[in-house]
Amino acid sequence: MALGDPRVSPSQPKLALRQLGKVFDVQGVKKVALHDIDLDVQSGEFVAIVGASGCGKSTLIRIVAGLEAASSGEVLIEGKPVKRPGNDRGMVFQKFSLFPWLTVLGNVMFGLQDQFREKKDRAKAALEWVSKVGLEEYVSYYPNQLSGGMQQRVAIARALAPGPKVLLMDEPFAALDAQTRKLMQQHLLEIWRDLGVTVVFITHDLEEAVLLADRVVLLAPNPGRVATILPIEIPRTIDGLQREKYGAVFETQVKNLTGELVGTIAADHE
Amino acid sequence: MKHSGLIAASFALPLLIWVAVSYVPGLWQPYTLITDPGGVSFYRVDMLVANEQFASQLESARSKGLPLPSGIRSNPVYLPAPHDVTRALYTSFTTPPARRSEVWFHQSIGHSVSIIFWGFLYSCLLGVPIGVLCGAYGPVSRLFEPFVEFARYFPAPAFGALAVAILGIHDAPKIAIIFIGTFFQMILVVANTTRRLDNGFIEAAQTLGANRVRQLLQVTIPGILPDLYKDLRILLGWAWTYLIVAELIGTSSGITWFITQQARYKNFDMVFAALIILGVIGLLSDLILERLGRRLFPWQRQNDGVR
Repeated sequence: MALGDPRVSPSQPKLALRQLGKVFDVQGVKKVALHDIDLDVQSGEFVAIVGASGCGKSTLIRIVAGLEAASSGEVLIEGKPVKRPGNDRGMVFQKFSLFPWLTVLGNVMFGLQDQFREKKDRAKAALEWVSKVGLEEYVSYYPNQLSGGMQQRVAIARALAPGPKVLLMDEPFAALDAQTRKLMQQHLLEIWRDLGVTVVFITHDLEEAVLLADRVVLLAPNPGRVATILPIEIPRTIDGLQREKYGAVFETQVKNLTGELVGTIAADHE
Repeated sequence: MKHSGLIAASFALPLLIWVAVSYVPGLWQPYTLITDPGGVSFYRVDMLVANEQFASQLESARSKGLPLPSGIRSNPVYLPAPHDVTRALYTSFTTPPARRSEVWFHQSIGHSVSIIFWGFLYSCLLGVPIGVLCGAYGPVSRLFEPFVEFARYFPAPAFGALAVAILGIHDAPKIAIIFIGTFFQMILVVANTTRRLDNGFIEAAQTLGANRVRQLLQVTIPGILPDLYKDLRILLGWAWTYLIVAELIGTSSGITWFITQQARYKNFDMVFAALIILGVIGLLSDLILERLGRRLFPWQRQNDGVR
């Protein structure tokens, strides 16, 4: 979009969800999975979406990615509605979903076909992305020769390479061990800062959400809806990125969030 | 190799049983090979008679005071001893064809292999693309698979007469039988393998902006390739099963012709030799294909990484 375009206001959200709804038909019985979800994500913002299992957070991100169709409402990327999957939204999956038959470089090159016609230009661009996630030594490795953390870094590079407007992450670190998860969180924050990318991050781990996000969106189940949106105002002290994990403020935030989460489940059981 | 001992044993065990039954006296040997007919009028040298019958003839000769017949215990003619079969393996290759219209043993084998090759190749050329499309696209599957499910119950041998009527008596109907025997199964097996591909790969490709053509060519096909390769190896085994039927229709040919011909003359050592050859060809081709598979799909190797 050109500068000076009257439709583009500086405050226009990168990603906007408008009354997003999803109804599943389970053997003739209608089940409302998501109800009237409204959310604005600003450019460069890191938003985490949390909620009890079954609250529809995975369905939500899959609708944003275009992998599932919304029953009502719309998803807007820079004001334009999107319905189908596209490389304007990069997606990182919990189980990595790297192509096992392609090398690290080949995986990252996959999403660059629209930008570069020549294979060698694609390889060059992909190599830069592989370097950004620190895996330039492993360009010719196949995914199953890499550790889980390394695989997820490749998946992040692959998702970012086509230059998406939003990076969608569906419980990306849930399959990793605690130590690797910590390293990956730091790594993700560095990428987020260096590239100024907009991130929507699904997790069931409240500490992870409070640790990483600018805002945490709590979904309540049955039907999946926004229970609360909590801005995290703990300063990022470590390298200006990460938050002090054991500070009093951090613990209060997590505790509050846990309380609210438990509240949504309790309400559901009444 | 870790299990090479067991692999050797899996071959040694049946061989050992065969050796024992052939050479250990009295272990089985239900017949007596006559070496001297004695006073029994209908006995001839080299005749095989049941042990009980020999015993009763021996008894009656003794009671009548006739010269006694003698013989050695022996196995039935359809179970030749290992050394007979080993010799037959050699002579089968060195015996020139009995008639001008006949061929050498190695030519018979070559003919059989070529029938398998062409039948299976045509089957793959049609069956694999249809199977992949059925597995990848629901409407294609609904268009093809119900009929294929029906057609796969046609026993391929039942098409023998029809194939000869349409395609003549030479190789074409034989190739057709191999084709019919593997084609319908192949569609279903390949479709199933395609459907089993992790949908996560397709979804990842979609979020990377790949259109349907790219999803098929760059995700589905490379994704199923190792499993497809395994499927084809199994189906190739089926093709060998149909070979025996295929070679009997029209003008009998190939290794089946050799086997029936030898069985007709009760050269069962030759029959066993041919069976062993068939087994060796099958096993060797599968081993070669397996090795080749490891080269073709290097990403399937697990243990040389950094994890």
